[in-house]
Amino acid sequence: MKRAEEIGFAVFLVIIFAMFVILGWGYAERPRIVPLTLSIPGLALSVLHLGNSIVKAKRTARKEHPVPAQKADEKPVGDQQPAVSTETRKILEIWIWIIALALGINFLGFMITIPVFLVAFLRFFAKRSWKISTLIAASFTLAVYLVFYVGLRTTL
Amino acid sequence: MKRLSLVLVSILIVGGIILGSQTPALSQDAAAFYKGKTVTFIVPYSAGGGYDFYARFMAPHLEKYTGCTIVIKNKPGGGGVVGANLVYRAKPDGRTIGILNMTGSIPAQIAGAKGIDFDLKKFIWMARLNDEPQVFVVGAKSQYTSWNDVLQSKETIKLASTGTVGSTYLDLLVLKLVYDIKHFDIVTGFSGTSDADLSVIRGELVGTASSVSSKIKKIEAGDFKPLLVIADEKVKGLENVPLIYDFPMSTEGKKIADTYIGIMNVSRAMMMTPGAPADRVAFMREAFKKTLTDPDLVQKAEKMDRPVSWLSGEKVLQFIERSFTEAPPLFVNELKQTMK
Amino acid sequence: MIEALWDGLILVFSWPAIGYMSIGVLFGLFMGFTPGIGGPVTLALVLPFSFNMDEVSAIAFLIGTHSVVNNGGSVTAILFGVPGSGPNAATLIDGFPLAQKGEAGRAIGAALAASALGGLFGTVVLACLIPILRPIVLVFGPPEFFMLAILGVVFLATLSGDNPLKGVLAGLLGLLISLIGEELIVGTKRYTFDIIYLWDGIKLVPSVIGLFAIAEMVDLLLKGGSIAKPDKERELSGPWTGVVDVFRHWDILVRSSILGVVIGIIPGLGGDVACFLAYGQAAQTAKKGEVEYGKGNICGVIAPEAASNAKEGGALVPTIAFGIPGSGSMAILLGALLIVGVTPGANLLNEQLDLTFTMVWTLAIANLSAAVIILMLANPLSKLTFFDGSVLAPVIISVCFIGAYMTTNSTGDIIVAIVLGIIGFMMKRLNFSRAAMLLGLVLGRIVEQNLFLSIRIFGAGFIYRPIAMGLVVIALLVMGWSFLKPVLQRRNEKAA
Repeated sequence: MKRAEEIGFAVFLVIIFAMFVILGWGYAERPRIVPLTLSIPGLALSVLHLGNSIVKAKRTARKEHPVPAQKADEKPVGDQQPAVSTETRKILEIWIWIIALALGINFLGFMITIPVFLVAFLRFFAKRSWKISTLIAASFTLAVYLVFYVGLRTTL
Repeated sequence: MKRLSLVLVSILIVGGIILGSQTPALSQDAAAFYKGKTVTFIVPYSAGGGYDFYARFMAPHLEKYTGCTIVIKNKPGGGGVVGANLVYRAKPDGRTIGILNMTGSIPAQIAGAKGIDFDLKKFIWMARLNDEPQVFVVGAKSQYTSWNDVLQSKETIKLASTGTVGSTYLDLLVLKLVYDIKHFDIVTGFSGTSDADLSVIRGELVGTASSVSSKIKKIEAGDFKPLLVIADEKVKGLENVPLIYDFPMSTEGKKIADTYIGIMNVSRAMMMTPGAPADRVAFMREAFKKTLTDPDLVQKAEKMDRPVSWLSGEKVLQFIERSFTEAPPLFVNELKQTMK
Repeated sequence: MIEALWDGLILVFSWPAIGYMSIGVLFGLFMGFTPGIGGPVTLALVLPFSFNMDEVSAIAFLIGTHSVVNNGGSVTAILFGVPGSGPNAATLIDGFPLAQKGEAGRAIGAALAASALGGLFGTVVLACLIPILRPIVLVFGPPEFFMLAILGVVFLATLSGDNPLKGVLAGLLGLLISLIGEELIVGTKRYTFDIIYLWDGIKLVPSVIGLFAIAEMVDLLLKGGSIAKPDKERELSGPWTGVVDVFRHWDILVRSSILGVVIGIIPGLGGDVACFLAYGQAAQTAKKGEVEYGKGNICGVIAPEAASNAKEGGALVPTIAFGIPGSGSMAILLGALLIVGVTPGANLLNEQLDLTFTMVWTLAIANLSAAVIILMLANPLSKLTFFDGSVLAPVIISVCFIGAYMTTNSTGDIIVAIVLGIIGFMMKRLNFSRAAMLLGLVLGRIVEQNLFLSIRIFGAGFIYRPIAMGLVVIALLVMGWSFLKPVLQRRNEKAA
């Protein structure tokens, strides 16, 4: 799993640096100097890194599966398969919660989204009771209200 | 007979009520409207900056004269464009006002800069905060002691400027155009006027320009020599310094100078969303007038080197419209070049 | 001058000045605790209150408020990985890992002691330099700024620890990201895709919040448990351990303070740079066997904290000497001084020298008071790090978003925080140095801007100015050292 992540991130870096180079090329003489001075070596190094990651991945793969002719129905040595995808699923779930919070803030504002998010998250992710979840959500929202709206007289 | 009199009396009563509710003082409606409500004062610049300061400075007085609560929202971005757009597109109920740097915004709109949703001519202007005459200075130890020296110099004169959207750059650009100076080299890139100033004080660059209020203390301290004031009348504290009009310039140059000074005359102004009801506009304009002519506020402002000078919203609009119609093509083209 | 020193001290303790200062300190700490709200904003908010005060009270109040904001911010940076403002970002790089090891108390103690001592140091230097204030400010120009920034970039390389390729990539990415936005030389908008929000570039606070705070919270939720992993049965190492640490590493303290003061004196570099440079400089001197920087080395907390407060003392220098603000908050302070009738400039160094010393003393005393207050609260506060993460994290994440949003009151800040949060999370998992990226983010623009200014003003020969040349030599030495060190270490190991 780590290998896939390494390679995936390496590809991401290559793409980003490539973008900096391509866009940087189009700027006038002075504005393009520093971007290109940084992004061209960056692109080269990120490609190098990608190569490294792939080579390392192949090497560790070979270590884990030394004998190619494994019986088809035997469980593969990398028994982390099921656990790995649980981890990935958890990561995705957490990020979806966070992005949902951001979307809520954007469209519904802080004062609505925060209590809703807290109640939902504490209840469904942290598996707390409704009572505790609403208690925490309410007190935090109240604190935010007091500090920002009353104390500082700013709106969020 | 009784029914008829009943009907007549009813009509009279109802008529009387309707007539009575047409209160003569429109501002009574507005006053009632604003009392206890919140008005958002959008500052299109970051907290802690000059405009933010002015807004917070005026807020208590505005609250006193309107009965509303002023909430200041900083919405920086794009050199003021983001905040100005927000004021422009807000609900036109009179509860959103803003402040704007006109010396930056008018040229930006003239040049057709990207991202501008607003039309300065369509804003409802509340008042002018102040005008900011500009001054061109050189370092204390500079070889140039008068504007004539500068004009007649045979060498390239390097000047310090912030980015291409500050008043410093515009000052120097305008001087260059008005007098058709070929030997100005404007070095842009300083993060702020302070850095540009230090560069001149260090002697690295010959001179710079910006508002009188930001330079006056350093002039008095002897770090700067003022050589030219960009304004149409003498400035307090710099009475000995010649004005831009004191030197010969072409007709085209004079038109550019006129346009720029017209813009400068409304350096900082406050506006409200277009379409707001007339009575609330009048009410808020009155509140600004009272605020900016309040002797206590005026005096404090003076002490801080941030003087205020009220001008009515209607006059502000006139100045703005004039700058659009009178801007010479040469000026417009130069602006378009820089603000590409 | 001794008279003025004494008079200044008396003025501070007079009533109502001392009362106002105390209020200022409490308020400043609280504001620092609130994420995203830093020095300049806090000052802007309290400024109107000072209008009706007398000179001494106003100075005590404003300087009292302002000088402690960063201390409040350090506490949240250490406990939760949420920076209160820019300068706190450097503190959390090692501060938060310390909290994760259950040593939050120690980190807070060290942070405060370093900050108080650094501030004291800055104050002393300020006082000593008063006679020669003006010439010093004038000595540094764009070439020197450029070299200092390059020095920072060189430090970057050392932050990558054992994986230089990853570190350099992180640093380059940071440098490039800092270039997003409108550049000041010609006005070109680079990498902005026509999005107005990006015209002003990627801001530091949302970046740090995303890169560190949010990434850490996601990691926390993933792994479960609490921030501090109580896997060892150990006594909560209290703040006094941290205080002792500061004295033990006095060399780092002194170096960082000097760095802070110098950078504070030079307007034009921005305050955040001081903390990161100090951090980088401390990481340079890491000895074998020490905890790796970024994983909870106490010096990684001491250095930026000392520098940050020393810098404030330094920033007063150009403010007092020229009326040129040394930092964003100084600009506001300047305005306030003018209102109450204090004119920065020569007279502050002559007739009104006692007022200058009032400022200096207020700085010192306010810092000390803040340190004491926080130290008393350190233990109870650090118990928070033992709360269950799945309850703490969503609250902290909400706080993060509020803090990020406060930067420009636009959703762009939140998007930046999320995007960098995702990147930061991946970087943490794959062992890329986020500190290197952060350093690049802070330094990129400064390097470019000063490079071009130097060339424009002096031509290509700008590098031959004495101080700039000196910095070049230092940079080369640092680079050379970072190559030699592992080689020498390996040789020592072989010999052993």
